[in-house]
This record gives sequence, C-alpha cells and structure tokens, in this order.
Amino acid sequence: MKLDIRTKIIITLLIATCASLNTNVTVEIGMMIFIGGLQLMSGKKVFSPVLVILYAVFAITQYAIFPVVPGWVSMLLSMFVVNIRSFFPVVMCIVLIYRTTRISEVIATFTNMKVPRGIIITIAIGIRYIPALAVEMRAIWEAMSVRNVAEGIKNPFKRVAVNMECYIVPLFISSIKTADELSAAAMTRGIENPAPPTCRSYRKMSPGDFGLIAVILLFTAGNAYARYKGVLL
Amino acid sequence: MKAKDFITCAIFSVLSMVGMLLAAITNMSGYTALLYPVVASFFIGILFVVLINKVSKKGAVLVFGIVPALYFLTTGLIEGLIGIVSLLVFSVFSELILWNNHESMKRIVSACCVYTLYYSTAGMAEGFLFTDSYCDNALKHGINAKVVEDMRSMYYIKPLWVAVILLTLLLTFVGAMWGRKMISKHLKKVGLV
Repeated sequence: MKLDIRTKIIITLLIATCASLNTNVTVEIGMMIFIGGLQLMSGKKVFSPVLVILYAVFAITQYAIFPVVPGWVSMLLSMFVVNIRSFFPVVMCIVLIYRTTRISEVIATFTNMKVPRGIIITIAIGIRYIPALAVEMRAIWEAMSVRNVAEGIKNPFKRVAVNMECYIVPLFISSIKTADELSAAAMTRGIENPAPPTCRSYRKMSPGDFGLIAVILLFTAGNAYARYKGVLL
Repeated sequence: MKAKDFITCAIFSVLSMVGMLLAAITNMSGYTALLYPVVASFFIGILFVVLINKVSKKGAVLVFGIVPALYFLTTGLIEGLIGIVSLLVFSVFSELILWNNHESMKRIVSACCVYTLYYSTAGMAEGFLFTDSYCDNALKHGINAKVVEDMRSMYYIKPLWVAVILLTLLLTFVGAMWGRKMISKHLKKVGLV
C-alpha cells in the first residue's frame, strides 16, 4: 500500500489529537493495532516490533505492576510511564512517515501545494538531518567518553559546564560544516534557480487516501464526542 | 535569506528540538515539570546566539521556530495549533527586536529572552490558568492520584508562575552568554562564525 505524504501527515495529526483526548487504554490499543496494520501493509521493513514490545511493557507496568507495588514507586514512575505510553501511537505514525517517504516526494508535494520555499527547505533538511545528527552525537559521545576532560576539577558546577562544552562545541562545529556542505550540494542541484521546479515525484491523492482520512476523522470525532460526553472514562 | 541561510536555520531548528527533548526529561516527574521551560530555554539560548551570529538576516528567528512548531503538532491538533500561533507571535516580537541590527549583543539577548518567553508563559498557561481541568485530565490518563494532587496544589500557587518566568529569563541569559563565550572561544577561531 502506498499512501500519499499528505495522508500520512493528516493521519499523524489526527492520531495525535486522539492520543491527547483519549483516556481509555482499549481505544489506545486499537490505535496501536490500526497503525501497526498500516505499517505492515506499507512494507516489511516499516513495521517496528520493538515499539510494539515497548508499548506492551509500558502498558503492563501501568495496569498490572503499579497496583501491586508500594505507593512511592508508582508516585515516582507514573508520570514517566503514562507520558511515554500515551505518546506511542504518535511515534508509530512518525515511524510510518519516516520509513515510507522520500525527501524528493516531500519537496515535490509541498512545492505543488505552493508551500513557501523556506518551509519546504527547513522540513526537508529536518527530515534528512535527524539521522545524521544521531550518528554525529553517538560519535561525539564515544570520543568524549574515552577522554576524562573534567578530571581534576572539584567544583561540581564547573565540572558540568566543562563536560557540556566538550559535547556541545563539536556538535556545533559539525552542524555548521554540515549546513555548508548541504548548501553547496543543494546549490549545485539548482535550489536557487528561480524557474518553477518540475515535480516528477508528485502524485495525486487516491480515493484510498481520502477513505482512510475519512475513517480516522470519524474516529477522532467519535473520540472527541466521547470525551465531551464523558462516555469513555 | 538565501538557500544556505535556510539550511543553516533548519539545522539549528533541529538542534533546538533536540534541546527541547532533552529538557523534556523534567516532564517525567510531576514535581519537576515546572522546570521544563527553564532547562529548554538554556539550550535554546545557546543555539539562538550562535545562529544569529551565523545568519544575521531578517527571518532567521521565524525559520528557527519551524521544527519546534512541527514538534508541537505531535501533542494534538488543537494544542499544537495554539502552540504554533503562540510561538509565531513570540518569534515575530523577537524579529522586531532584532530588526536591522543583528550585531548588538543586547538586542540578540533581548530577542532570545522574548523568544524563550513562549515556553514559560504560553507553554505553562494551561497548568496555571486551567489548573483543575489540566490536573483532572492527568488523573484520567492514569497518573498517580497523589502526584496529581501535589501538582494541583503546586499550580494553585500563582506566584510560582512568575518565579518560573523569571528563572526562564535568567537561564536564557546564562545560555546566551555561554553561547557568546563559545563563539569567541571556539567558533571564531575555527572560522565558522
């Protein structure tokens, strides 16, 4: 199944709205199954079993472990567990977008929608830069962990400041260099060309896209109504 | 702004989102959630100063806010849109402070403080202005009743909001000064700013 990028964005927004409105775990599990199904239909590598297992761990912790452990454990961890657990459907949607969307598709669709160029560039760079940033941060972390840079500093505040500086400065330098490299690459590909760009990757939304949006829209409306009326409490 | 400036702003925008995610660790406990804007503004303060020194053009602050704005949308459509509009308002004020002068450190720090004010004012408004509905919602989501009651009594203390705003301004200032120090100590030396 191939969904349009706009459909995926709308689904994510609606699921995020449902996740914030919903207080019933059965409905939440339903959302997880639905998005998991969408992921499976979108391709083998799109589905993330790790996320599903983690969700199950958080749900079991909240509903099976918290009622039997001492109160202070629940007090300490409940906000962490609830906040993370209720965010899982949104994370599943983000994974769906991330694993099934090419940057060229995003650019083509947004260009066709007449979205300002600055916003398109920012979103495209944002999507492309996040994995590079994760790799960069891991490399800096590994490099700094073998150098005990704050050794000998007794003032705890200074220790924290020195340690932070050693992580942030390489990150800034690498980010600024990446920005320069990406700019050079984009300019050679004609990003500043004033002529209207051609969109080979653009595809129109299919009836399936509209149908899916309608289903989730109805679900969201039902969720909002139930919340308003206090049905699913 | 040219494509290169947009790309630089986009990368700093992603970094600011990472800073916000790091600061979100404070949201993991009901007692420390009030510190979220304080910690986030410290990271954003550093990034803001470096960005404005790198991209001294109108519109840089607005582009800097795009990725955090998209991040707000993951909290829900209504909350996200309110967050985006509020952030846009604070970004516009920040742009107005900078206007044509991106060199003055006073202006940069003032603009940065206005930009991060979003987190301590609009970002915390729900908790302090609609305390009961906010805490009831937390309770319905399954957060421990004792924690929610503690949060409720905490959010009822309105001067605490003023303290959070002042602390946010202070930490933004500290972050901005640290960013300035990093520019002169490292980034200028390697010729990147």
